[in-house]
Amino acid sequence: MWVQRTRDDVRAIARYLGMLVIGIGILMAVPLVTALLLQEHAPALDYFAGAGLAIGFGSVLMLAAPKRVPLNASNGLIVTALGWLFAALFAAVPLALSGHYGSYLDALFESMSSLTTSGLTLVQDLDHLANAHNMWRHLMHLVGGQGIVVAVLSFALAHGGGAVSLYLAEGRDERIMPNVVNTARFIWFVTAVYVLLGTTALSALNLVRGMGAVRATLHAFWATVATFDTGGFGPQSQNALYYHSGWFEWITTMLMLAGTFNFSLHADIWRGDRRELFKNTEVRTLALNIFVLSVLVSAGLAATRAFGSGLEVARKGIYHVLSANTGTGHQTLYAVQWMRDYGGLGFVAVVLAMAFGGMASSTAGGIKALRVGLIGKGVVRWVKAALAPPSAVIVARFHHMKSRILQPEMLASALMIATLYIVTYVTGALIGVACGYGVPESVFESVSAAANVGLSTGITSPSMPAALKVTYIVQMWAGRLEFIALFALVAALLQPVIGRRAR
Amino acid sequence: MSRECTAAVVVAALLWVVCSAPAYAAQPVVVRVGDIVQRAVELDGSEVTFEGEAIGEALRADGDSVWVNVLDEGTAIGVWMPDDMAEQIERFGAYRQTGDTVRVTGVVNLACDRHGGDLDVHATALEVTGSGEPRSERLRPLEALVGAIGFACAGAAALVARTRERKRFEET
Ligand SMILES: [Zn+2]
Repeated sequence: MWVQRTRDDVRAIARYLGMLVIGIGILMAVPLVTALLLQEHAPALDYFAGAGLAIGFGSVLMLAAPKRVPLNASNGLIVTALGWLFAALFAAVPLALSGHYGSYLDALFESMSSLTTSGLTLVQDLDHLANAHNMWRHLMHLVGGQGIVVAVLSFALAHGGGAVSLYLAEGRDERIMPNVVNTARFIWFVTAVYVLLGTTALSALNLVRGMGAVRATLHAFWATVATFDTGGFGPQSQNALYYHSGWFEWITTMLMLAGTFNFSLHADIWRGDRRELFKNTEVRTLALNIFVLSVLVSAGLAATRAFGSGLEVARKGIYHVLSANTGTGHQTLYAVQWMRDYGGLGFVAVVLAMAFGGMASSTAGGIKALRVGLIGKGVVRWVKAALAPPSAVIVARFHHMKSRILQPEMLASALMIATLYIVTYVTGALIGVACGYGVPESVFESVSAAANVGLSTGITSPSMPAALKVTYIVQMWAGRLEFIALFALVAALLQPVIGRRAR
Repeated sequence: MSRECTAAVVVAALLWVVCSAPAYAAQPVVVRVGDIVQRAVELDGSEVTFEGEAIGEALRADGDSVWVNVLDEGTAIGVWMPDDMAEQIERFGAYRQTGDTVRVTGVVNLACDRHGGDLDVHATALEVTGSGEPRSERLRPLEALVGAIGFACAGAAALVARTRERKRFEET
């Protein structure tokens, strides 16, 4: 169990981490070019410094081991866990230099939130932030959403081998295509199609509404990436409220839904097979989940008697449940309103939507509909077995790509991950309460961070205690990796201690 | 209680009603944008006056109306107004410039029925009280140095890696 990690292992890990950090540095070319094109000179320098630092550090780290050194599955987990941290650490540099963050910790919070497609933000004076910095904030949604390690390393690694374990470690545990490289290509292809469609539609809308051409396109691209990758950042402090547009809400709702779809389903739809869409247990679970919670939120909002018509209630209710369930975090209400004006049933339903999350193998966070569905089926099977005569064999079936029998190991794994999410939600909430915040808002914010959602009641602000910032950073990191890679890292770090005691 | 005393109380009460009521109706409350969001339930339907910076752009709404988002101390709110009212605004806040400061009088809606239940303000009057200015960029030469050193390290590391590979190739 406790494999002794050799010096060669550590070197291999360092080499792949170096590769990843270089990848982050190269990606900074996008905001750098944006800055140069739009003549934002100070941000251009921020990205020159950030890219130099990342590429320099990464290159030196890569010297640790020779080329083509193999990476076994166990080391792959460590690279993945550390990869997200290192990526966030370097991605934060240009943001910290922008002058819009209270400290480097705030910038790190932002980059972790962005890469994990959470959407909680600590940026200050967002309405005067340079386009280059907004480009970087949103680009990280795109890169992190597709799986940062896969995104960067799939192009650098040879076919197969270590990349499979890296892909699995990132919590995107299904192979849609026969090999990882094809899978990564397919994911990028689907993403490119949706990003193009979304950007075109929103650009047209923005132009009609009187935005300048450049601004219209940039805003459209950012909103598309933020919703399809279920991130939730926006270029203005009011987030989705800035636009005051039903059309904007409608288009982004479609993108959020597309973003929460399992990439395997995208593959089926692409092949023209729509039957899976109606049979799939995960789709059914999510649809039921969204329906029930939308009704609850709408009932909660209606009970406040603030809204004049059922249409308004439905518009607000469905948008926020979708935003929460898909893990996007776009808001069309002010953060404080969740607690003060619309507390009660609506509040609780949104917390549940965030906690359940979207589909597996998408950019959504949370426990995920497939697990919720399997646990539900497991409970039903259990009750049936209890009522049936002792000789009867009761099996539960579910449909995921094909009809399958629910095996005890699947149920155990789903229950274990669900439990870990719940423990993380509760722990974060307890730390929030310990920092002096009320119980409901502490729960809301903690779930939002660990499920990578990004809805906020207003706790997340530059003035919150540093301990809570660190807590949310760890929650976003752990939630995105679905714990396994992170636990492997902790075990590896503790291994010298535990290993010695065991001997 | 004496008769005079009662009379005085009645007169005082009448004076209070007569004098304070019209003044209350005529003068909208002066608030900050943050107050509107914080006290939306209480301010719902009442007329307020506030000041802030116009940001982004005037976004076309239905008919001859636009949305102008007004920012004050980190909180921004959407203000719905007729086209010609917004035409007074010359600069909108962004990276390159701060926007004009506007003094808006308007009615607060906690959940506006006309606009999909959004928390917004419908303007009845707008006055530009200060004009926006270009924002200056502060360049830090140290950043160029850090970047250059980083790229130099990367170049050196690439050289080292290449020599190693060559050596290994020659050995085999
Ligand atoms: Zn309105």
